[in-house]
Amino acid sequence: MAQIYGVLFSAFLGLLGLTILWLIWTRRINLTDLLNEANGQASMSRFQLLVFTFVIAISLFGVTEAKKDFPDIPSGILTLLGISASTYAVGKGISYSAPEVMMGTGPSGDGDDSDEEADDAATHADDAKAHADAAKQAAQQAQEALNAQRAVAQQAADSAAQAKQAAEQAKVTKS
Amino acid sequence: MSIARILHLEALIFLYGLAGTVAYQMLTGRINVSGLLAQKKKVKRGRPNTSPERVQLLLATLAAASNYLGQVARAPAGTLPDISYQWLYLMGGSSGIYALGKAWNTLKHKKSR
Repeated sequence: MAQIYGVLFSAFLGLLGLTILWLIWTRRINLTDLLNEANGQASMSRFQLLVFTFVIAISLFGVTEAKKDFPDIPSGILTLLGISASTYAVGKGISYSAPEVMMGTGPSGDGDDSDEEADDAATHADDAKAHADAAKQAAQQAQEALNAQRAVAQQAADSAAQAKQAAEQAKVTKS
Repeated sequence: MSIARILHLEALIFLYGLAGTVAYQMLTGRINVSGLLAQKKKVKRGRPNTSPERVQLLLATLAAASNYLGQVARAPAGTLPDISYQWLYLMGGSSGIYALGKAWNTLKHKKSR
């Protein structure tokens, strides 16, 4: 009887594990936001907790396999996981104490606002300078075009005057 | 094959499969890691600013994790090695810097509003 229960239990666990892995691979269990905070950016404290969890789990599995018994967990490991989990909890508490910072809907709360304003001003100044250069170049081209038009008009006027003079001379000669 | 052996293989496949899947999805971008080292919303000339406290926490985390895996590999079979106080101090200090930096930035933002 115990053998039957053992087989059933191991079959259940095996199917459960394979199903979870298969659902993750087919994205029906979506891990995209595994490290994300509410603002869509990855969280360092979540990443840290994930790394330590896998490291301790894999180590514990290896030791249990070698010892054929569940080993005592050293206090240092518990402290390390406690530090990691506390960092995650504290970080979450800080983030949710100011949702506008976390969601990025307010002014930046990370570092010097004056630096950021200076950067913005420098960016705007660069843009303005580029626009001014383009406008200056366009004005020069327009001036050159205007000069060319004036030259053509002058030539036309000179030609007309010469033609008029020639016509008058011809008229005098005829008379 | 005994039931214990089957259970062992199942746990082995699941644990390493899950770790491998998560690592693969992080490397291929299916798990979003954008902004992992960036300050929130702080943009300098179109690029997000790198956060020093996040970088140091990442380095400390990777160093502590690889150090512990090395200790496990060197330890006698069947014993789970303890973590030395130096590494605990390092992780506590690193996490404290990260949390203090985050709190400071949040407080500064609240004051500026």
